[in-house]
Amino acid sequence: MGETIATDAAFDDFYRREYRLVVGLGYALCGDRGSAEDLAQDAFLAARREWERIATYERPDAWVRRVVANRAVSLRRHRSAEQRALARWVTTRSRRDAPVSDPGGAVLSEESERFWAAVRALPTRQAQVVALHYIEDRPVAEIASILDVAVGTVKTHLHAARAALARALDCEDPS
Amino acid sequence: MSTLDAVARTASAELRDRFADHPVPDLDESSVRVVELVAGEPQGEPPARHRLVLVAAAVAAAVGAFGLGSLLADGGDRGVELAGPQPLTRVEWVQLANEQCAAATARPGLPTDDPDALLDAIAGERTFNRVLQRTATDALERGVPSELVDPTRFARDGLDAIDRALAAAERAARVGDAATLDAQLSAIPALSDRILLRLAQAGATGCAPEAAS
Repeated sequence: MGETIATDAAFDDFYRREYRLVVGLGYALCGDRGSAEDLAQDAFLAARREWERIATYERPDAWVRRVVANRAVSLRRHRSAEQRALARWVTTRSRRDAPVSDPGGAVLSEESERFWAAVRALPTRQAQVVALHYIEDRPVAEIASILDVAVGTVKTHLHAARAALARALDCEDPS
Repeated sequence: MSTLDAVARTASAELRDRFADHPVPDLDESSVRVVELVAGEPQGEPPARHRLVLVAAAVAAAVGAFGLGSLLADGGDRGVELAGPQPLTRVEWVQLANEQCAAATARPGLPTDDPDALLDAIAGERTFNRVLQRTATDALERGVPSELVDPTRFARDGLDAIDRALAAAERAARVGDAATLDAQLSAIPALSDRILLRLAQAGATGCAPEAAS
């Protein structure tokens, strides 16, 4: 019983320390606050179920971020299907052409939202690499560990992503 | 011209700042959103995943229970124009299966001899209830006409009442209090039928799985 309490307290500390950063990562990858919160809850629930194992890892935070990165892809696909289903149920001619509003509303300034929208438009792996690199200032080796890919792969994705973002945002990319 | 790094770091710093004070909720499994809706599947194709069947069936049941089902059929009478050709969608397909399976269970009454299955079914219904709340809120925010997503039926106090009934039912189920369990679930229209359907789909009441799939 004592061991269980210690484990639960350790998980609780971990959860409260990491939650906000993970929601931020989810927001960068999904683009809306509600989905980001759902992703974070989902990832931490999975972490709690596996806590006995994950707590022994050198970087349990990396495990959670891998879950978020992977599930963000599924979530965006499901939300598209959900929006299509909802639009099919009830619509009028004028509403059919109306843009679907973002339930979470804009969270950041227009320029920042434009940047993250451009990131989300990248191929999935590039978007994940960019988000982890810039939001959390993680080195390439850590990103490779989180995404379970080779360091060289991360470098390739980051280079391609930066070039694409520079074109999309009309920025200079000295690298 | 700005450099990409400058733009990226500004956007990242702003994102970190924005979420620095984000409220940290209690970790609650029932609050995880599990909406999986797929539209436009051809008639007769069975749902591939059990979870999709449960959620879609529950949503379809809610559509029927809360009167939206009639809007799908009678859209023209209400001045609603449904977009494009209308093959039977996966949600509609599962709704038909839902009705068949509900009929097949013959309303035997909620079984208390399999408490784990019953508790799973109640927990699933609580999750679905939260899905309804979120879906209705999203629908209204996306501009679905309020007269079509009847706010009085999706009112928070109505859904809160359902959640309280389910919580009380869950407590009753844990201690084997069949009378309280039945009373709580009977207080909400169609709730006991939905629990029965979940049990049937989980195989707990012997409903033939072919009827639901």
